[in-house]
Amino acid sequence: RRTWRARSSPTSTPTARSPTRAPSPPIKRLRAFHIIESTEPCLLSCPQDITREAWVLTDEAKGYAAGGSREVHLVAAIPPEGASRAALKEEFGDVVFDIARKAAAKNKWIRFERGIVLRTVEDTTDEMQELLKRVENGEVVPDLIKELKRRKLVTKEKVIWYSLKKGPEFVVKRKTLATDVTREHLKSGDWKDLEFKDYNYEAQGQPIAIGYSQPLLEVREAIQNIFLEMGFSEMPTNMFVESSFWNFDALFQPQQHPARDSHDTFFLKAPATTTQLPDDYLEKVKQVHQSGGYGSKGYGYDWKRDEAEKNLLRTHTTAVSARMLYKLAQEEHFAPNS
Amino acid sequence: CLSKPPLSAFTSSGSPAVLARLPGSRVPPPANNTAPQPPLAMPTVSVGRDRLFAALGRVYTQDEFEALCFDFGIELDDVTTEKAIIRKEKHLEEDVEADGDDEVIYKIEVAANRYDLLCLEGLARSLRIFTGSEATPIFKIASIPRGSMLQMHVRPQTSQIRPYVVCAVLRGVTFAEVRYNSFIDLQDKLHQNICRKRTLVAIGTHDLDTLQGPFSYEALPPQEINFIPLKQEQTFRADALMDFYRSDMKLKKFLHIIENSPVYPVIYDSNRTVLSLPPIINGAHSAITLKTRNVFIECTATDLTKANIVLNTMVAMFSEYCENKFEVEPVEVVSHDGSTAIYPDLSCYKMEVSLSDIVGPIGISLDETQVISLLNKMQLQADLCSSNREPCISVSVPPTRSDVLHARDLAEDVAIAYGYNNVPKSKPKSMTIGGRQPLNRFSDKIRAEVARAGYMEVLTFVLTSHEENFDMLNRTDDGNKAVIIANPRTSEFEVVRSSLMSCLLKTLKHNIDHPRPIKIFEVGDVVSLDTSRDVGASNNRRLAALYCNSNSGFEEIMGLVDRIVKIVRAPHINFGQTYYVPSSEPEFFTKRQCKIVMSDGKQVGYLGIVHAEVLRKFGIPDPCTFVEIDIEALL
Repeated sequence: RRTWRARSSPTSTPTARSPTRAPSPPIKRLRAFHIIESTEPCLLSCPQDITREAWVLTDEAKGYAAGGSREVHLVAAIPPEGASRAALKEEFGDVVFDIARKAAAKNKWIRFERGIVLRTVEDTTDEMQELLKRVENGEVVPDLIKELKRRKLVTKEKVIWYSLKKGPEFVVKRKTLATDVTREHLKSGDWKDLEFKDYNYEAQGQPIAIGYSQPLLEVREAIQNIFLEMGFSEMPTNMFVESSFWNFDALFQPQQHPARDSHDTFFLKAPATTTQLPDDYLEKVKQVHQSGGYGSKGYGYDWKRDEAEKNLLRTHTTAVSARMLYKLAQEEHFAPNS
Repeated sequence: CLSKPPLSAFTSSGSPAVLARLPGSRVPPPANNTAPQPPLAMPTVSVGRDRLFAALGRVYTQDEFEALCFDFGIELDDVTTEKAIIRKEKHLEEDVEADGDDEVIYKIEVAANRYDLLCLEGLARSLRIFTGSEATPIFKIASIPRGSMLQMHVRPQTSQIRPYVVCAVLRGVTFAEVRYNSFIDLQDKLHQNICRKRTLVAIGTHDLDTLQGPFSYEALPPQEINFIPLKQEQTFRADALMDFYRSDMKLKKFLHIIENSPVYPVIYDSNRTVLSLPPIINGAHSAITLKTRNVFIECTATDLTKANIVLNTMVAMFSEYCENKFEVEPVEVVSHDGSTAIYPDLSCYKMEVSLSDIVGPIGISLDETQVISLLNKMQLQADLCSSNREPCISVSVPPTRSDVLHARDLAEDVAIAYGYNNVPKSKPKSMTIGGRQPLNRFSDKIRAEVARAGYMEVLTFVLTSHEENFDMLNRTDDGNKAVIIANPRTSEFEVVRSSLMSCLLKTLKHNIDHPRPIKIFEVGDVVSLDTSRDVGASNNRRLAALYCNSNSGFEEIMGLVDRIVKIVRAPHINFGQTYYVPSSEPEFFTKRQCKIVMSDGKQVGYLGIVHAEVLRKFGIPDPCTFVEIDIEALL
C-alpha cells in the first residue's frame, strides 16, 4: 500500500513520526505522479523520492488499540469462581477464545483447574493495548515488533515521500509549453512567445500509407533500359499462344526434338491449331528441315505440316524474333532505321 | 493497337541476314535420361576419373580439368563415387556401409547433340585431339569384296512398323569389363537421346561368332515369334513376352512402340535364331560376353538418317578396340525391292567455306593456316581450298561430328578452339534509336500511377485452374473464352487466365493477415480465344486492383478509377460526365457493381463489391472491392 501525502510547506522535510496531515484533500496517486513529472522538467521543484517503511496496525489491531485486547476481555469475563472452558468458548467463539487464552496464559493471568479457567490476578494492565497505541502513533519498537507480526497485528507499509523544493525556475503561475506550431500562432503573432516542449527524436515518425512496385518488375525495367540505351527497339511479345511453326520449325528445331515433347512444352486443347501460316515461307522451312539449303545439310527426315500447326504456350521469346525476322525480310530495303 | 516497331541495327559484318542460327550446338535441348533432370539439362556422362586421366595421358588437378572442360565447351558437373551414388539412391546415412567402390567418378555435362562425347572413349579422344596430343582418326571400311560381305535382307512387312535397318561388324575386339560396361552404357545413352527412347532407333549388339549369316529383318505376327530372350532361360512367344515385361521397370516403357502392331519386327540369322525383337530385347543366344571377339551391330529405325548417326557413333567409339584399329567391317543391306546399300556409311561430309564466312561472324582476324589448325583441334579436318577467288577452307566433317550442318557450326568450333574469352568485344558500327512498344510504355505509366495511389504491385501466375478461373468467381464457362492446356502438369495449370480477378483474390488470401487496408494491383495480360488471330487466341492487357478492409472500400476503388479516367482523358479517349453504368454480374453483390463505359457506350472495365460466395470460396473473411480495366482500350 502506498499513500500519498502532500506537505503543506514545500521546504520542510518529513520525519519518521507521522507527518502533518495535509490540509488539502488527498489526491489520487496517478495525478500526483503526473504533477510531479510534468513540473520536474520545468524545474519548478526538485523532487527527491524518499522511501520510508513503517509498521501499521491491521484492522484487527486497531480494534484492540481502541477497545482493549482480547486477553484482557477474557480475564474480565471470568467471574471470581471461574468459568468453564465451554462457557467461555461460547461467549467468545472458539478462535478468539484460543488466541485470548494463550495470550492470557502467557501473561500468567489465568490458570486451569479441573477444566475451569480461573483468574490469577485481579486487575490486568492492558499492555497490548498500550503497545498497539504506541505503534499507531508512529513509535518504533524493534524488539516487540516480532511478536506483533506473529500475531498478525501489524503489517509493513512502504511510504514514498517526495520532497519538493523550489527550483531555479520556480514560478507561481505555470507556463504551458507548446507542442506544435499552428496557423493561429502565426496569424496572431503568438509564436514569438512560444516555448517548445522537447521533442523525443528517438521516437518513430508517423507511418505513412505508401504504394509499392514489384521488385522483379524493377529488375525487368533495369534490363530493358540497358537495351534501350544501346538503341534496341522493343518487340511486341504480348502473345502467349504461338504455333509450333514459329516457335520451333522456323527456328529449325527438328520435329522429333525432345524440347517439343509434351513433357517440356504446354500444348493446347483450345485453340488446338494454327492453320494460317505463310505458305511460301513454310515451303522453304520444310525444304531446309528435310534436305537442307542455304548452306545447311538439313536434318534428313520427313517434315509434317500437322506438327507445325500445333499450338502451344510460347516456350521462348525467340518465337517472336522469328516472326520479326520474317516481317523485316518483307521490307523493301533492309537497313537500320534511325 | 500494336504499332510496327522501328527496326534495330544488326552488326554489320557485311553478310546478309541469314536464317536463324541452327539450334542445338551449344544451347542444348533437354535430354531424356532415365534420372529426372531439370528442364534444359544437358546429358551427363559418368566416367571414372583415373581411367579418364589414363586415357588422356596425364593427371590433372580438379581445377586444371575444370579449366580444360570449360575451354572445350563441356562442364564438370559433379564429383562422386559409386558408393556415394548407391548410398544416395537407397537413402542411406553417411556412415552406413554401402555397396559399390570408392573409385572417383566424374560426371561431365555435354551438349545434347554431341553423340561422340557420350562415352569415355569419345570424350577422351576428343580432348586428346583438342589438346593436340593426337590426330583425328580416319575411320576405314575394311576392304571386303562385295560378294563376301555379310548381308541383311529386309522383308516388306517391316515397312508397316519399323522400315529401316543398318548394320556393321567390329572384328577382333577385346572386351575387358570396363570396356564392356562402357559399350552397354553408350547404347543406353544413345537410346535416351537421339533414339528418343528407342522410338526412332533401337540398337542391338551381338556376338557374331554365335550366329550364321545372312541375316533377315522381318515383321511377323507375334504368335509366330519364339525365342529365349536375354537373361531368361525359357522360350517365350512374342505376345506373351509383352505381358511378361509389363512389370519390368526398365522395359515396360518400350512396349507401346510395337505392342499394338499386327506384326512385330524381328531379326533372324540363317538358322532362324532370333537375334533380337527390336526395340524391346535381344535374344539370349547371341548375347555379348567378355569373351566376345567379333561384334555384330544392327540398328532398326523409323528414321534412316538417325539410324546412320547412331550406327556411326557406335562404331566410331569402339572401333579403337578392333584388331585393326579404327577399321569397321561393312554389311550389305538388301531391301525387298532389290536395292542394296552398304553400311556403315562413314563418309565425311565435305564443306567448302570462305575464310570470311568463318572468322567474320566471330569478329576475329585469322588467316587460313590458323583457322585450319583450330578446326583440326575440333576433329574437323581442314585444308586449303583450291579456289582462287578468295581465301577458302575445305573441311571434311567426320561421322563423329553429325552436329555440323552449316558453315556457322564451323565458325562456332573455330571460336571455341580460339577461346570465347579471347574474342575482342566491339560496339555496333551503326547508330540506332531505341524505342518501347507503346502499350508497354503506357502500361508502365499506369503502374506508376496506381502505385502512387498507395497500392502494392503484385505479379501473379498466368496459368490457373479451371475452377479458379470460373466456378470460384461465380462465372460460367461457355467454352468460347479460355485457352485450355492439353497436358497440364497439375490442376493449377489447366487454363490460361481470362481475368486477373482470381489472381488477386488468391494473392489476398495468402496474405490475409496483413494490416488493413490491403490494397493490391496488377497490370498484366489475360488470354482469350480470338478467331481473328492466326493462332486463334489473343492477349489483352488489363489493370486490376483489389481493396480489402473491414469495410468494402467501394468509394476507394471508385476514386482510383476516377483518377485513371482523369489521366487518360485525352482528345481521343472519350469519357462522358458519368462513366459508371450499373450491372448485374454474379461475381459481385447486386446494386453494388457497375460497368465502366466510354462515351460511345463501349465497356472498358467493371468494378464491384466481391460477392460473399466468391469470398467464401477463396477463403477471404473481409469485404473487398475489385476493379478490372482493359487498358489497351485506353491507349
